[in-house]
Amino acid sequence: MARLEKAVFIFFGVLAFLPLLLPEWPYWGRVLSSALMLSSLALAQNVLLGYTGYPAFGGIAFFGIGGYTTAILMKSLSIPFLPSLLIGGLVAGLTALIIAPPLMRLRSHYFAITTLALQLALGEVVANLEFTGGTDGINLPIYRGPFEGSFFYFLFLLLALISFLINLWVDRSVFGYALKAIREDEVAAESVGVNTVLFKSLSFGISSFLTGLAGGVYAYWITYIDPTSMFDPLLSVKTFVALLLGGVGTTVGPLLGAFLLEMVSEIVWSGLTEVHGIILGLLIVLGILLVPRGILGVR
Amino acid sequence: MRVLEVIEVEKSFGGNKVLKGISFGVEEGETVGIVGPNGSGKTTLLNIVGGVIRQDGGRVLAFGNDISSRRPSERARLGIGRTFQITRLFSNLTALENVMIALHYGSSLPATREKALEILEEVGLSHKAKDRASSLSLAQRKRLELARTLALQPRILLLDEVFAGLNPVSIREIVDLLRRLREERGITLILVEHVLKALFQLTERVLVLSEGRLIFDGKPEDMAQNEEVIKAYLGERYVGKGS
Repeated sequence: MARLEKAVFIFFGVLAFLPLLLPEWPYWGRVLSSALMLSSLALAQNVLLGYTGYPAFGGIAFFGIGGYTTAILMKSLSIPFLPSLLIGGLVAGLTALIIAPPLMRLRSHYFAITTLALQLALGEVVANLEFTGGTDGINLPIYRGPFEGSFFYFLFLLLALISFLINLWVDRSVFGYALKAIREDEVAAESVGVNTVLFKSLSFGISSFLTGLAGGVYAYWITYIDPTSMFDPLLSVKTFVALLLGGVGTTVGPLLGAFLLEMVSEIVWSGLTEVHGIILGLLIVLGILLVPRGILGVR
Repeated sequence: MRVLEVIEVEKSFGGNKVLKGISFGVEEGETVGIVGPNGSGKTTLLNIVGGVIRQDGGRVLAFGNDISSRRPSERARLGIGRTFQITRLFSNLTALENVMIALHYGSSLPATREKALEILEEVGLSHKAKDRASSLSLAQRKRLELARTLALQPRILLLDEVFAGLNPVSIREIVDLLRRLREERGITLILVEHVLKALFQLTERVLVLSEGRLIFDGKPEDMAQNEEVIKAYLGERYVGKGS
């Protein structure tokens, strides 16, 4: 295993003990939870864009599906959080799996724009339905139970770890090689026996499952969701910036990019609130100019 | 045994009728060349047999099964391998990985790696195993594409202009390699080719396409005497002048 990947496991180990060590935990818990969530989203997108070559720019649609499913199950059907979360992830993943065969006939920009349209349209649909709470959204109870101060932090940590392990597996498995073949040349992949429709659909499904789980944890974490926050195009942008900054198609890059972006964003946000957007924009421009393939990018 | 049968295959692109009822059969172990002027439908025909393009009418049978509506990947696993006119490799992956992908069904990664190395050895590319496909020369790229196809253990190999752009030495090497494959594995070869000199070293049967129709099916030496072939290649006024 590459040295950087081992370092990531040590990093996760350290993160697991931080709630005990860091002063001002509520603050750091929130910042690190955001970074871990963004890591999961970037790693999920990496399975699809990095290894399969399909940029789901509107992948946050599945964040919304996961979040809303979890919230509705908890609120309307009184199902406990963890089963609700799992079902939320599965609904997101299965939705992707079902729409993949027609949707993934489109490639590159066309695929990216279509998924974005899906995300925006779903946001509108959710805003106009009764059982989703419309534009008023859904309120969830505040979590009470073990690890009260760091419950969501550990959930995001676990989710990021799972996402990272899946990336490791995709990077060096037979399954992953089929995805890489699709990324490189779909016609050639078919010609050597890879059922491209099946494999790219599975990739979209896995990616959306992870994205949906992130949405579910997020929903319970902030206890209030509405269409604007759950189908937020800005979150799509952040996911892509993190992924591109760290290095698309690498296992560690998405994590590095997400933490870097979230930390810089936090520092800028607390210090220079009014020019926050300008500085993030500058960071994107610099990233493109200096490390067009991402910090760890090789291709 | 008849391994491939093309029956009344038709194909149009928009209003342009590219294939007009093509029929022929290929026996196991046979080597068949498909020639014809540019735009006569050769590559389209190969794409229909490989499954990349679906025919508008007619059927394709392989090993006795109707494969007309099968995906290219299913055809590949049935034993129909192919190479492309302009090589289509997985450019950002290594030569070894290119072959491994074609091998990937039903074995562990280390075993697959071992087998892929053997295949690279067979086509004389093992020294390039760790090189990225995009860094290889054209001749090496063609060999790699062949190696990748061989990993499927094909019974029929469709080769689209495999000699195009190669120097005489490389052509010689690929001719030898194809001969060896035919003798050792009994692979049926179907070559779409413009380099007739190389083709005639391999094949005893040639199909000539012209404007979407099959105008000749026979021995290479009879081709130059055939009036329709002369007309298609050289034009009306050369017919009857003899050789």
